[in-house]
Amino acid sequence: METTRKSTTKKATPSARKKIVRAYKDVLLKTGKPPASVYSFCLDLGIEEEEFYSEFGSFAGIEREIWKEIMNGTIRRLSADKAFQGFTAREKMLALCYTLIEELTRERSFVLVQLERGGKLELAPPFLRDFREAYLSFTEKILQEGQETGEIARRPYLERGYSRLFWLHLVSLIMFWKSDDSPAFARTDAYVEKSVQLAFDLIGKGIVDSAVDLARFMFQSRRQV
Amino acid sequence: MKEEEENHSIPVSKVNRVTHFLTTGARIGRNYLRHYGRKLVDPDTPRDLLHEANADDIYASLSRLKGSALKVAQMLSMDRNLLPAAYQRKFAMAQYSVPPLSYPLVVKTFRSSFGKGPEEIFDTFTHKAVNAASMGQVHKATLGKRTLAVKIQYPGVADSVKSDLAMVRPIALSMFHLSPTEYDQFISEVEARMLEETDYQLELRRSIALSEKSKVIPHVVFPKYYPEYSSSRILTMDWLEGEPLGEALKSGIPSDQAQVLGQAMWNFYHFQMHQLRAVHADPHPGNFILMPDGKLGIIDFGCVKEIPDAFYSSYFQLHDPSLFDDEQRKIRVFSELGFIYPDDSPKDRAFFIDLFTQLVALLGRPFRFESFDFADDRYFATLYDFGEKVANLKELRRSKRPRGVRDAIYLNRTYFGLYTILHDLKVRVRIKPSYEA
Ligand SMILES: Nc1ncnc2c1ncn2[C@@H]1O[C@H](COP(=O)(O)OP(=O)(O)O)[C@@H](O)[C@H]1O
Ligand SMILES: [Mg+2]
Repeated sequence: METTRKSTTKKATPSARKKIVRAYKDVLLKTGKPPASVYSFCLDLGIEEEEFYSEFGSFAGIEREIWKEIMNGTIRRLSADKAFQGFTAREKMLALCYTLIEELTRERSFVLVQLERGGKLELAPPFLRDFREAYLSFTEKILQEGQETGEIARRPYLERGYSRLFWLHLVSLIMFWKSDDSPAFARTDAYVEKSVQLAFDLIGKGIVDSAVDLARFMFQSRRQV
Repeated sequence: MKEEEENHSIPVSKVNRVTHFLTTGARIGRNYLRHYGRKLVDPDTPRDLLHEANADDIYASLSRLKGSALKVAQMLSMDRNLLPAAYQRKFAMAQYSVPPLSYPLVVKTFRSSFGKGPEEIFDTFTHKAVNAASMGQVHKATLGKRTLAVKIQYPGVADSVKSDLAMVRPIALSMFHLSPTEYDQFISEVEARMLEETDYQLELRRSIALSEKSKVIPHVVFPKYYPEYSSSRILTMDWLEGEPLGEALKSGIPSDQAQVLGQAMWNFYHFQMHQLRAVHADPHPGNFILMPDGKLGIIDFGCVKEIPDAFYSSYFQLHDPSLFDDEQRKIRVFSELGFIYPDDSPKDRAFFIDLFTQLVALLGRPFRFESFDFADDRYFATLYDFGEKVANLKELRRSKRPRGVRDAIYLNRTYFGLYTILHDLKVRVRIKPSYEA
């Protein structure tokens, strides 16, 4: 009995889930905060609370899901791209960042509200948990391939810290994009380019060029704001 | 001097322009200190000594700068005749460049322009750039039987032009002894041209219009441009298969071939100045290609100076040899061009009239002849010597106002580049071009 019920809900899932996510985002963007309660949210949406709970455990769960979808959408696009497989690790990382920024840009309003509300990104607030995990497992694969081809130096003691560094890099990227007011986020593109080049120079060989280039760019960007 | 040799290595790494400005500032400061140090002992130390000491430092530091700051510094030093002639020639050709774009960024740029990556648009597309461009890079592509040059711009360049120019302002004011109003007049012209250079849509329109109209000139070729594969940050045209003029000059060009190229180039500029009144304002060997059939390939309409009517009629009177026979007319033209001002002191007035008479006579000398031999080393030596002399004139340095108007900046630079290339080609040029005959 219990199982059949579950499977029927599962079947109805895509639309119900999507409907809930959409309605939640709507409230969040219009009011700047989550609905007062699941009860009032369901009432407005015209669904039973039970229906809500069969999809999500809480509002936090919805937020986590939206973020996860941003990352998964990015990864799906990259995996579907024929050229991507032929890229070097450095290029894969660049492509990942560019695509992710495009996906984030589609959800920019939502992301900005979330960034306003939710603590320090470096510490990975709960809504970013799945997003972060998906990002790190994808970058780990890229790094591993890079090591196999020799593009990335093996540094046994440091390597363990790479994930953390890549996460911090992504956080800095999101923060840059958040306050970027250049047309088409062109300066964010420049930031991706310079910072990823630097990161790969650090974990590969020769660091000076990209470090200097980034430093100069950051100096100018700061002057502008 | 070591720095001179290093001039060649400018594009190797992205130099930190900020640091370079700081070192330039520091060195100039040091020379000032020396100057004042000496002054304590001997109050008569000429300021000119100081300027000489600075010229080396300025050149050494500026030649390593990149980006729009370099361009401004370069134009300023030419305009102010600040650097000794030998430096100026090298400096004028210094290129402004950005770090290479990664292939994913190239793809991203294509996607945001056309919704498709380069490999979906072209049959082949080089992953790596084949040439550096001042604000981006050039890739080679093929489509059907055609080989194409695809120029792609680095993101955010327009933005950084503005901030680079803001950065260069304080140091330029002290380094070039400019008054803020003079600087602002200069910089507004340079900024306008540089911002135009960041707009590839504009470059596309101008390339098509100017090359279409200039087709009548014998022995020149232009690439065909493709609006459908161009956007504000991508410019696509036919690849001109040939040897870049800079390289051809190094390896030597047979004189009869050089003759054809030089005359074609002269005619092209003459035609633009007088017929089109809009000029390809960047005569740089990198913008010309020696075609296998001996014709002159012309690319890069990124920097175009449009000549306003009023300015046209004043400026080109300078090329008219009879100007000097009519003192009144000369004075009028000199005033219109900002060489002299109504409220100059009589002494200043006499000084500047004399100076600009000499300068105009010298620079305009080719126009007094049926044909002129640009191979003539003596002419260029006189020109450079005079430039050097002008650079050291305290009257000019101390002048509170600009001597010259903003519209002249790019025309002077164009003639400077043109003369230099013709000199390098060692050609004799018919001044009145044949397309008029
Ligand atoms: N159509 C072309 N055919 C062959 N080479 C080209 C072509 N366009 C550009 N290039 C090469 O790329 C370089 C930079 O292109 P250019 O248009 O001059 O850029 P920029 O405006 O930055 O100076 C040129 O100096 C030349 O070597
Ligand atoms: Mg060029």
